[in-house]
This record gives sequence, structure tokens and C-alpha cells, in this order.
Amino acid sequence: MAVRERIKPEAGKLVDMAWDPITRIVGNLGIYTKIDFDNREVVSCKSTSSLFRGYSVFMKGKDPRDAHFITSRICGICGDNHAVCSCYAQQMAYGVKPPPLGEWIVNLGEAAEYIFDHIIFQDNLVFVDFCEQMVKETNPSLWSKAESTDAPHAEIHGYRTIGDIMRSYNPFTGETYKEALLMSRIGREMICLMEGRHVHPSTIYPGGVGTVATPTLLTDYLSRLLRCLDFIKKAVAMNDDVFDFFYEALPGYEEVGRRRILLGCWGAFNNPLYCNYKYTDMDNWGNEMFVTPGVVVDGELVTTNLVDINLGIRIMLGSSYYEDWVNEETFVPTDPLGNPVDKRHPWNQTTIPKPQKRELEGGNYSWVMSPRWYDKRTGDNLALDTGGGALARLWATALAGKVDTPFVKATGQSVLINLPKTPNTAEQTLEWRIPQWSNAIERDRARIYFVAYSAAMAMHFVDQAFNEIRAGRTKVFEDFDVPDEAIGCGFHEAVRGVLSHHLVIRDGKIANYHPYPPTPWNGSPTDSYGTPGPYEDAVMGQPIFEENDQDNFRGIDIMRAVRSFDPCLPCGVHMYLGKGKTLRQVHSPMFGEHG
Amino acid sequence: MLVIEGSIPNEKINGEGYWSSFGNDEATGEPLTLNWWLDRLAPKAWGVVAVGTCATYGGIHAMAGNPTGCMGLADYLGWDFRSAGGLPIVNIPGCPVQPENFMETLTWLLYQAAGLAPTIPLDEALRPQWIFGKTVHEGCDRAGYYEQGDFAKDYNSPKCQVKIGCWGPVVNCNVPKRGWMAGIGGCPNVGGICIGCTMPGFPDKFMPFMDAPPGGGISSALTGMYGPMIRKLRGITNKTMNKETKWRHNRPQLTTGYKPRWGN
Amino acid sequence: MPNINLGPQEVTPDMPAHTPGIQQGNAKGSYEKMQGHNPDGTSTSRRSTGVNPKAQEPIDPSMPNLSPG
Repeated sequence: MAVRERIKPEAGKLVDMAWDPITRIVGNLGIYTKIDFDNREVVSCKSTSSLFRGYSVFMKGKDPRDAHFITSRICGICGDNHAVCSCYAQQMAYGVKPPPLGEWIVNLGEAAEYIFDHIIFQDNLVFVDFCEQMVKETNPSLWSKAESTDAPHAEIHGYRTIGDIMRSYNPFTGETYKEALLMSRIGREMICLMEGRHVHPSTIYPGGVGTVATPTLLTDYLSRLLRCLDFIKKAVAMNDDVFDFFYEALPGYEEVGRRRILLGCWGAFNNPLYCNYKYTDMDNWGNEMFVTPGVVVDGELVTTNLVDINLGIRIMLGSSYYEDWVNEETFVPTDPLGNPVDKRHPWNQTTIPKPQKRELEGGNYSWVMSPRWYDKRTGDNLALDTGGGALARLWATALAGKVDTPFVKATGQSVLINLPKTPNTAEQTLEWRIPQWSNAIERDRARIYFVAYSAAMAMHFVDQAFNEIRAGRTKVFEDFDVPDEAIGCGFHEAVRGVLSHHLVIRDGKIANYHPYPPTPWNGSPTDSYGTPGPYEDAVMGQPIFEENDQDNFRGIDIMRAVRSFDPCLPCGVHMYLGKGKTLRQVHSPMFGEHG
Repeated sequence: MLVIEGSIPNEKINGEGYWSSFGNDEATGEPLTLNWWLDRLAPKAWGVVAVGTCATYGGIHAMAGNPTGCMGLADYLGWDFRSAGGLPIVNIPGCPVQPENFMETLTWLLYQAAGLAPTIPLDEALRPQWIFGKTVHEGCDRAGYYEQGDFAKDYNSPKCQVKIGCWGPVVNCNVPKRGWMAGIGGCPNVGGICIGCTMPGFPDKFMPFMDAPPGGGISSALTGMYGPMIRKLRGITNKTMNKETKWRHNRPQLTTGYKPRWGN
Repeated sequence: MPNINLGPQEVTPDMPAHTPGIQQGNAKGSYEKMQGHNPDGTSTSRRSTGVNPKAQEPIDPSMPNLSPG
């Protein structure tokens, strides 16, 4: 196995540093690094996952109509994204199109999910890394500067200095921290209104929803949305102020978490006026989604066609605990348009777990496989990332310039978001502009802008749903029969990025089912071609800005980089294991991770 | 207090591999399995709580055909396990757990630990009795349709869903009563069939979820017979009750039966 | 399956699958069988109540029919 050699011969003392677990959500993501403290740089990084449950194994033989109930349980945060994506795939397989009101209700539920999840992640988890307590501890000189720097948007959010904003994000005590908790709760209530429950919806079915649509339902949703909007307007301004301050106060900070611009977005919010769930029309209705699907390579929009996106998906092994499936059954040799489907495509994947010891040095080290996207222009299998979800969604949507609603408009270089007047704040127009870099700060910034985007889209969906209900069109579900043999694929955006479900039905049962959520893309290990996963290459080579010495090192810049992707491997704690031990003086390029 | 979420994989079946781990063994550098942690933490905890159906009974990941052999906490530690505080495992099932059920149970345990509450009442599946001691159907606001023999035939209908997959009549759970959070949402009360997600037999015994449950046919056939008659009778009474009494008028004379004094 | 110790099967993976003949909540034609649900996607009071539904209808044809949830 070839592994990209990143260790320079002149490298000084290398120190092993590991954060396992690193996420603040579920405790199975570990980041193993080698840090060159003399040159203040991370020279190698491995991303591991220590959890296997086997959804694609145990779903075989089950009724396909159970797929969304089952796959929702993949995640305790964005289960509803899975349920919805599964219903998209099932609807394709069954040839059923939900009534428009059913589709608007799903969109309202999913918009609330983005609002809830992005807020709780951004303001209650990401910002712990940017709050007063943390910055004081890791970069004392930066903190004193923050206290004396005026906040440019003070008139919107009410905090005079950058330091005041950072203080408001202190966990459990800060004003913004506490308000964000409340907002995310309201967001979950909005989801419960539309989808019955959060996080595993009860009222979402293939063919539509069971939610009883009445003016009451929409009024209860809208009144909550308006409360969130007051918060969102302030939050965007506070986020912008803090992130701009980092760029200004720490020159070079754009390198933290920076990687090549390789972004994937699978599109969100189907438009019932166009979407018929037919594979053969997928290019058309995909381009009508209210978040445009797209692959962005080096700043260029390669495609917005969901068929191209679908056919380009490749699942690689290389560092993962599975048997290869090259000699297993090919379930889908060609797609319904007659295009050949690759053996490494999820439709043709057979998952056979092979539990074994973890070998970080030259062996297998993760339960996550390595999803890649085949770029037919160059023949490269690209390790796309999702930019934590929001960055790729905004980037693809902005470049495509297709979304045009009264509340959100894509311009080709930016996305304009109109937020209406709400109880405590004036009308506001935000503009998210395509940034120079795909890095930690821009991933984090995009997140709060996408909250605004979702809230604005939700206003649009409320209008559309009200039109249906007020016209007396109460139908929300369309009956269907399950075919004996069929295939389906669903494309959606989980909160933290691309989500696809691929389904093969034989004898009326699930013959193959492969869900690909965003974290396997972002957190994937090094693949069989030696291409590292996005966390790995975003951290490798990144400079260290933390002022602490090796003994008191917190790894804040590494954590900011990894957390900017919104890692969700199934941790509620922020734990640091191992003090870091000196490996040895390195004088040879042979040292390290090759194998 | 040890609170466990997620099913417990069987680490005896996978050789040198591991299914689920947390942190590393400092000597070998290999991952420490969840089971390793449980073996060390559970005997020392004053109380052991399993939250969610995965941790309580195995749940989704323990369904037929699963490769990890996973199970609930009581299957792993033993159903007769007693914590350092002398308590059985406390199970709070639900997929996911209803959040208020979880916090309320923990609060009882904290009061109990402080000597301010008696031993928490648990049923034979080790669930808090006051939460799981009745069925979904008994708390469902759609049960009135059942009584009148008026059933949903697909998911468009706001009526009783027992013929389209709802297992509410036989499932122990309080969600239709309590809602999902702050009284909002739920399952059959808002149009989502009850798939039995709080039950030890979940999911296999309830699948396929969207099929009519076997037992529902007989009992709903009975109400289907007398239900229409009940609807009719109620219709007559309802009509009467929807009319105001006749002495409310603006004619020049009072007809309310007003008498200035007691007696005649 | 390599690396995993397999014992005698106590269940087949497709045991929980659909049994032919059992009524499905999604079956085609179910919508049409329900009283109060019109073919054009609108509905009447009978959708929501079995007790005197006629009396719950809107009183004017210009009013949409919005029976409660």
C-alpha cells in the first residue's frame, strides 16, 4: 500500500499526538498525528473509526418498506435525513410520487433539521473552540487582542468587542451559548411538528407523510421559525466578526484545515413541481432542487447532473476492515439510462466485515471505507469532502445560479438570503460570497449562513404549503405497490453533507442496500491508491498557531480543523488521551507511515 | 451512575478485531472495547441505566442477520445484575428514547441516591412502571375512531391506524399521551404508526412495519360491526348538543323560566 | 464470513420480511376506499369524523374543506 509520504528529511523532533475520541458528539472518531514542534507543523494524520454496526449487512432480506425506519437509526442526530433519503430511494424503486403537500412537509421538516443541528453544532460545540475560556488557554496574546478589538457588527448583535462575543460563547455560562441551546430546542419542536418525532421520524413514509396538514400545523411552525430568525440574524453577524478577526489577528490562519477545493453536494429540498422520482429524469429534477447538487473541483463546477454524480461514486478499500467484493455479485451492471455502473459503485457493493487488529502503521485502521468520486475528465478518484455540509451546499448552489425564490437567490458567485422582519429585528439581506479557500474558518462560516438559508427557504415552503392547504388539497400520501425487482437511489444532504442511499430489490425483498452519509466521505482513511481522506489531508501539513509548548499542548488548531467538518462518528465528552510521547529524532525520510 | 447508550456488541466472536471501542490500551496501543469499559465500570456504579432500545434490549442493530451479535445491557451483564447501590439495571427504552422520560427517570434515581425517594418502581422488563405501565392505544387520541369502527386505510387519514401497521394496542409506551417533546409530536396521535420501538421484541416482531398487524384484524372487525351504530347514535346526540337552548332570543318577553323567589 | 465465529442459525435474515396476502398500509386502491377522501386530493368532513359529518361541512361552496387533524 502506497501512502503519501509527507515527512521531510529535515524534520525535527516528531511527537505522536492522538485525540481519541475527538468529536463532541459520538466517541468513535480518533485522530492520530505526528507533530513537528520545531517547525510547528503537523506532518502526518490518520483518521480512525472504531465502530461497526453493519446496516448494509442486516438489511438484506428485509422488506424494502422498512428501509427508512431502519436507516433512520444510523444516526442519533440526523436520523431524519436518512429516513427522508431512504424514502427518496424507495420512491424511485416503487415509481411513486408523493402529493405536493407531502413534499412541502418533508422540506419543512428538513429545513428545521438544518436549523436545529447547525445551530447546536456551531454555537454549542464548534464555538467552544473559539470561546473566551479556550482562547485564553491556548492563545493568551490573541485573547488580549480580542478584548481590545471593536466588533464591526456591534449594532446588530449588541456586543462591543470581539472579546465580548467570545465570552458569550463560554459553555454553560455564556449568553449566546444558552440562547443557542434554546433555539436548537425550538428547531427540534419544528421537526416534531412536521415529522412527528426527532430524531427518528414517525410520520415519514415512502409515498409521502402521515402528518395531518392543517393551518394549525403551519401556524405552530411559523411562530417558532420567526423566533429563530431573530437569533439567526444576530448569530451570522457574530460569527462573521469572530472569523474575520482570526484572519486578521493570526496571519496565515487560512492554512488551518485548508485543503484543495474538492467539494460534493448531493442537493436538498425536492421541488414537487418537477420531481417525479424517475431515474431517467433525474438530471432535470435534480437541477430544480432548492439546494443545487454539484461537484466543485478547484473552484470549478464540474457537474450539477445527479446521474453523473451517481455514476461517479466509488467505494474504495485500502485501510478498512472489510473483504473486497470484486468477486461478488454485480447487482446493477447498467443504470436505467443504459450507462455502465462500476463494480465499486454502492449498487454493486457487497459488505463483508473482517474484524482485525488495528494497524496504524501500514495496515488497516478503520471501520470506515473510503468513498471517492471518479472525475471522468482526469480519471482521478477524488476524495471529495462536504465542507461540513454547508460549505459545499452554498458553493455548488452559488456557482450553479439556479435557485431563485423570493427568499433565496443564487447569483453565480454568491447566494442572496432575504430574511423578513421578525418580532425583535428588522428585515435583513445577507450575501454569502464564494470564499478564497476551503478551510476550517470558511466551513464554520458557511454553517451559520446555511442556517439563514434554511430559515429563508422554510419561509418559502410555509407559503407553498399554505397555498395547498388553503385550497383544500389535503392529500399527503400516495398509495403504491412494491415491485418484485427494482432499483432506486436517493440523493439528499444530511446536515453535515452528502447523503446517498442505494437500494436493490429482488423477490420483493432488499437484496442490497448501501447508505453513504457524509462522515465516511470526510472521515475516510487512506484508500487503496494512497489518497488520504479529507480529515487526514486537511490536517497534514497544517501550521500550528497554538502558543502552548509541547507539554501543555491542547491541539486546538487540529481540533478546529477536524471539527470544522462537523464530524459525527458515533462522544459526549471532550477527552484527551495520552500526553504525547517523543518518538525519536528523525533524520530519514523512511520513517513513518508508509508500508 | 453509569448511563449506557447503544447496543453491546459481542466481542467474543471476532478474533483479534473489535466492533466498538473507546480510547486505547496504553500498553498495546490497541483500542479498548466498550465491553472492557463495561466490565470495569458497571460493578462500581451506584446505579446502571440503559437508555434507548439498543442499550436496553439490543434494538435495530440486533435484528436477524446482524453480524455483530449485539445485545442489550441486561443481556450482557445478566438480567439479575445488581449495581453497587443494590439496584437492577434501569431500562428506559424507546428508539430513540423520549427525552423527558429519560431525564425524569434519572431525576428519580438522583433523589433516591440522596435518600429522598423510595426505590424506583420497575416492571419485569426493568422499565419505570409509571411510564410504561399502559399501552399506546390506551393513551392515543385516535383510539376514539377505533371504538367507532372507523379506520384509516392509508396514511392520508387522521383516523385510527391499526389496520395500516400501528401496533399501539399491544405496545407499552406513553408517547401519545406525553407527545415527543414539550407535548409536541408523537406517533399514532400525529399520523405515525406505532412500530413498537420501546419493546424487547423490537424490531423483528413488528416487521414489516407497514403491514397490518395480525391481531388487529379480529378486534377491529368486531368494532367494525357495532361501530357504525355507535356513530349513528352519537350523531343524533351530537346534533342535539349542537343546538342552543330555545329561550335564547330577542323577543320582547323573557322565557328563561326566571322566578324572583324560591318556591313558586 | 471470515473472522467471525458462526453458530447454528436461530433465524433467517428474511424472517421479518413481508408475508404475501397480508394487507399493506400503502396498497394501491386504499385511498379510494376511504370515505371523505376525494379523487382530486381534497377531502370532506367525513375524513375526520364519523359523528354527524354533514353538519361539520363548510356552509359555503367558496370555503375550502379543512377537516381537523
